[in-house]
Amino acid sequence: MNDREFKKRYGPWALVTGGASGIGAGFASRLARLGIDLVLADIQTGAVTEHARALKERFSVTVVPITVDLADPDFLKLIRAATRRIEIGLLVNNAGWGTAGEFMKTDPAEMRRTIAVNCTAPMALAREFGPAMVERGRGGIIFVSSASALQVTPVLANYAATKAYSLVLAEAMWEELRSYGVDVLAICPGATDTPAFHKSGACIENVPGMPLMTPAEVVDEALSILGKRPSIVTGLINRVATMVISRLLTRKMSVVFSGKNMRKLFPDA
Amino acid sequence: MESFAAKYGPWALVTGASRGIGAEFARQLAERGLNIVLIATNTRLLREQKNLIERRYSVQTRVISLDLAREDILNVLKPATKNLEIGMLVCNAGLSTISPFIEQDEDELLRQFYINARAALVLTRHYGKPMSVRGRGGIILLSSASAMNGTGYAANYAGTKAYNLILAESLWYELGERGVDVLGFMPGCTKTPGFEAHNPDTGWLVTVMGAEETVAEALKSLGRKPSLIAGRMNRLMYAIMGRLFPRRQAVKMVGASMEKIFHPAIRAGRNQDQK
Repeated sequence: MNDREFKKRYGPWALVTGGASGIGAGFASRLARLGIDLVLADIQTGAVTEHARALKERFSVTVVPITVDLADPDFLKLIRAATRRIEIGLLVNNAGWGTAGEFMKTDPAEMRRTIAVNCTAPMALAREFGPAMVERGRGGIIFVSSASALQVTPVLANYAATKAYSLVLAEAMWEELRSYGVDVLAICPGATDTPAFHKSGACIENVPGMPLMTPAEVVDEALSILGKRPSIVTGLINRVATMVISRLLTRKMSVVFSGKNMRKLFPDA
Repeated sequence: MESFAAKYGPWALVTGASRGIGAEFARQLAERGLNIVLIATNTRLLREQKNLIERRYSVQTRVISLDLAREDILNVLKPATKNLEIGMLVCNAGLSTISPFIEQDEDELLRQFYINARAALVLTRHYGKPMSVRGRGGIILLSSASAMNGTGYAANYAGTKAYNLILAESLWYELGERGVDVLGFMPGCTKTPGFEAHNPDTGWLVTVMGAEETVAEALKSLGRKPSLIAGRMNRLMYAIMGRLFPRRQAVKMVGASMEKIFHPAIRAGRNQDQK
């Protein structure tokens, strides 16, 4: 698909949540380069305003930054107000939240925040923008899940569970909407070089062979696979590892294997 | 080996206990000598279950009528269970829907997430903590075979069940080290009022299991495995689909099979039922 076809299929506007940094910022840059106008929603006012300004200057597209906390029960009102008169052809549910730590030591309020940002907000946004896409007979919805959704993740139990939710929700929506010309995709990145990953306390050097991808690599893979498959683990090494864990090992072996790796990855959690 | 009641007693808390799989969990746990806290929305059915259990088994029971979609469920449950040592938690309550995602009401989607997933999270965190301090206990989170990959016409439902599965498996690892057994349990089609309400047309290929054998399998596997699909035929089918087929193929197959089994419900549009 060339740039013009992409814009026709998934434009004229895209909404990217968590668009100020990391993978979300990567999506925003890539989409701006393709000539798509953007609404960037993020909780960090300064960062999202700055990224929007930079993209406008560089790619001469319209970029609207909005400050939204997706854990706020009224967040949809803010999104509606910002998107009232525009046609969102692509929704990127990228914003995520989560902390590493033993489940029983994690603050319950923090866990509620994680499920609101990672599960109910992306679901509500898909429900909000999906029907109009179906009516138009074109569009795309991308859920940023995680490789942890496929391999059981002690120390990140609640986070991994929220990502399993978005993976399975996206795959089901792919099946339901594909006959209407609307492409749904869940991407499951492994370790990615983002501010959130570095803040999480992960020590990737403790797990030999675990690759660290750049946000741009993750985004390029995601956009190249959109419409072709319901879900993808990004990165060849991550794909092979996930395949071994989920297809060759018994469920119990895979839980033990992933569990040990996670303890190494988060030694202080 | 220490007895079931010594390991998982003296009290069990079962959500969605008024009928179907939840009622059967309550019965089989009572049979093993546990006192039961039954939680559901339907007060009349709850009372019936309470009477049934007390007539047949010499255990104590309590009933709590509560909508688990509420934000503040612990405000109700904390005082109601304050003096009880809960050694077993079965998060079974679930809102099951068969409908295209974009036709489902937004509030209903949220409600479904709150009952199926958020309540399981909140209860596991609240009642699991003292279990991990005591060094014994059991937690069963009801997942579903639909959680193995995307399930068309049950998109949000299957998502919540995938949440429960991965949460349970991760906690099997984290809490197993502390003597607490956790199981993510995935029934297939089970003959319950909730399932029947969708007017399923199962044909010859789909196994429909009774609630009694389904629950017996779960209790047998608790502590031994992080997760279990109920029924040997279901296990075989999902092993083939999950391990040999690409996910795209599996998602398509499940979608086609959902259309076949639930075509009356899908055609009728909205069809919901709380188990």
